[in-house]
Amino acid sequence: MKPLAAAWALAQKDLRSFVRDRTALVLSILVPVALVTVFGWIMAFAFGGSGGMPKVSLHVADLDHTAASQRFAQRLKQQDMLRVRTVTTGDESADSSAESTTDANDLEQLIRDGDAHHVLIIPSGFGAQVDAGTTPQLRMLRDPGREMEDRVTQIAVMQAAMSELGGTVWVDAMDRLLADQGMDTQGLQQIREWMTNIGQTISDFAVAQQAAQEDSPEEPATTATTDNGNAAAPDNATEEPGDNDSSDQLAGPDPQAMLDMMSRLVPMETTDVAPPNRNQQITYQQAQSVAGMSVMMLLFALTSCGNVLLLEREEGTLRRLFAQPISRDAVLLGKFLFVLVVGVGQLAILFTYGEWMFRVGLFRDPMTLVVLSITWVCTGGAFGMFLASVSRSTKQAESLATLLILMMAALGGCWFPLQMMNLPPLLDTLCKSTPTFWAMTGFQGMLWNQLPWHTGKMLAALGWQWAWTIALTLAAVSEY
Amino acid sequence: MTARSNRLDKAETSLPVTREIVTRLLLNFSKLHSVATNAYGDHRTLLDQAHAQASSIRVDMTDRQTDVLLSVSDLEYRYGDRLAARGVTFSVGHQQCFGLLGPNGAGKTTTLSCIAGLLSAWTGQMQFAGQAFQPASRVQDRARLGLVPQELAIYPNLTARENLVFFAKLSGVAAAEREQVVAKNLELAGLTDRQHDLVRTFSGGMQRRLNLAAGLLHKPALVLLDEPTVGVDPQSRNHLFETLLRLKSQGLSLLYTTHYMEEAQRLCDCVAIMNEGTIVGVGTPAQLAASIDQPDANLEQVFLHLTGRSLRDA
Repeated sequence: MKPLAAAWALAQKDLRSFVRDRTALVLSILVPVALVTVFGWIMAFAFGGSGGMPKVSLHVADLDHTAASQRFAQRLKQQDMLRVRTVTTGDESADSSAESTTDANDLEQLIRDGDAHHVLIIPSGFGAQVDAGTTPQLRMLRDPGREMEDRVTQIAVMQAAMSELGGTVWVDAMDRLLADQGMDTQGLQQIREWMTNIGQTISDFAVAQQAAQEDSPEEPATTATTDNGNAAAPDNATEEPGDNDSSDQLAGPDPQAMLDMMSRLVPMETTDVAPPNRNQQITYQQAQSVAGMSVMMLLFALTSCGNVLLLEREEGTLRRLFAQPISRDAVLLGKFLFVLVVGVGQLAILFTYGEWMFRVGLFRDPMTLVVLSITWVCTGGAFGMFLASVSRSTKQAESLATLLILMMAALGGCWFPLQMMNLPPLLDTLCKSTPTFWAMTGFQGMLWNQLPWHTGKMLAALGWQWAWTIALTLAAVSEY
Repeated sequence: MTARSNRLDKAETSLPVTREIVTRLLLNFSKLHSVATNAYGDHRTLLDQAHAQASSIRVDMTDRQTDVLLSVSDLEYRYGDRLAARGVTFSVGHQQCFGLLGPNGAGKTTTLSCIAGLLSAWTGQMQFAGQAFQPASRVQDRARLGLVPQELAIYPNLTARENLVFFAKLSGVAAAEREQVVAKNLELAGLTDRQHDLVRTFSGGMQRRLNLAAGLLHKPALVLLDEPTVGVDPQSRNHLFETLLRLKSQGLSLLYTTHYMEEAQRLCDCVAIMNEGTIVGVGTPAQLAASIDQPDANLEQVFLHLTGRSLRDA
């Protein structure tokens, strides 16, 4: 037989065998389809469908409760770059400073717990300042390690403020700047009039531009007028551009330069809320990466350990084990102990390496590290045992493991931080139903927010993992 | 003259048993009739059962040992709708090698698995040394047995010694005796010189011998051997036979499944032939040969006579 003919005969034989192994065939199709679907879905939500810019989560606490503060909050929600989450702050009718202080502490706790990375506080008196024609001061609580989110948030907040407050912010900012430089009142008044005139000229220009574009419908509109006007502007001289327009304008200039310029327009008191011992050199992404990869890779390792049970069945040694004068539970427990020891060992190696490479502070709280590690090893071990008990062969178990682990890793936030994503309720629930989500919550809580294992959030994460462990173990035992 | 004398002898031995058979058959057919009139769907199954019972009784005309170690009565086991073992009844005496023969899919391994405690959902009765025997649920019952599975149930990445030490621990050999027991069984398997070698480097025969040794560590009263000579060269097979004969002479009882007739002929004091889940013949090889009216028949001829010549592709 000629080599080519022999090769083709071999290929035909392999193809025939492959097609007849239905499980392998289905999984070979199902795995890529499922992964493409899940990752496509996740990525679509990661970037908010806005064409490339991830939405940044911003928690907004309105302590003012006036029409102006609510309008401003609404402006924030209209920002393409932001996913605004309104924070309810205790008794909303209370105006006393004591109540406000308590609220601020609660809001800081949101960041300490890792539930938020930026919290914008619209302080009491915001509406009154707007009504008085002055620029109100905002307050931002932030996690200093989230630089990317910080820049996006500040830009978006400034845009919203400018949209809502109009020329006031320009004029007031210039006033403050020149007053600081020592200009007298007369000079300041003169400057204010000039600024108003400049604002009027710019506004007229913008209106003319918009009219010209409306006359030529083929071209897409690049400007839009807001339907809200600017009640706070001293002379309603400018009609500020709409939200979409604002983001379009931001596409051009250097974001940092724009941020620097804009941050001088609206006064904002910024408070960094971070655990005291966090290494400032470490970024959130590094911590995310160490936790995510550890959680995912350990799941792979534990699943392959769980396959030992299948291997015993395939090789016939399980029959001999079950015929020994020991209980079947002891056999399963023995396998589980093996998985536990291997898992803890692998996690220790992974974490030691991660700490050596990135200095993420893994060993700062050894007790929390041990509790989290053992919990996740148990969950992963139970997952591996469950897969081994429902699979007919090691090959089937490995294929199923690949499919399920990659999907759970994506949904649980091992690959991308879920906080960045604008997930619809169904997908959000799906993500939170995965054991990987709770493992990530725990490890991120320990690494980034430096939470001890006995805090509420960590206990919830541990509780969900143990619930999964028990459910998977019971399922594995009943299948065996 | 000799043939006539043989027939007379047989008739004399058979008379009381035949009376019992007739009584039991009548009872069975009476039961069968009443049940069949109530449920037509079960008609065929019951007929089969009656036939199987009648068939086994017909052949079970042996002077069975009264010193029974294991007795199995009316054992049944189902895999879904398929009845893999039905009405299986036999007993294994002390220091006896009992062969369970049958073509592929006859139910030998199923029967052995029920006895070994690997399958639990069986019906019927089992007794061990006169006591109720529940190997699936009672650890102490399993401790009386040694299992030598059909597969090479040893760990290839452990050494021969490590394998035996491991199984000695599991089977409850006391730590103080373990070294001695392991050494003895390594010697029994002819593997003392290779005890520190990984099992994966062993030949098929060596692995088979180790497989046997691993089932004997705790000195069980009864060893269950499920086709232990599959894929073994003549030398190793001979070694296995000699080992088993030696064990028998030392007081062990053996329950041995195989479809190699010459093995059964050589080793077994008594054999039961299974076909389609039922025992169709039980007795010594000589008695079975006599039962098919072919005095010179060997066990293979008896086997084919009782199980038929059609291929078994189960």
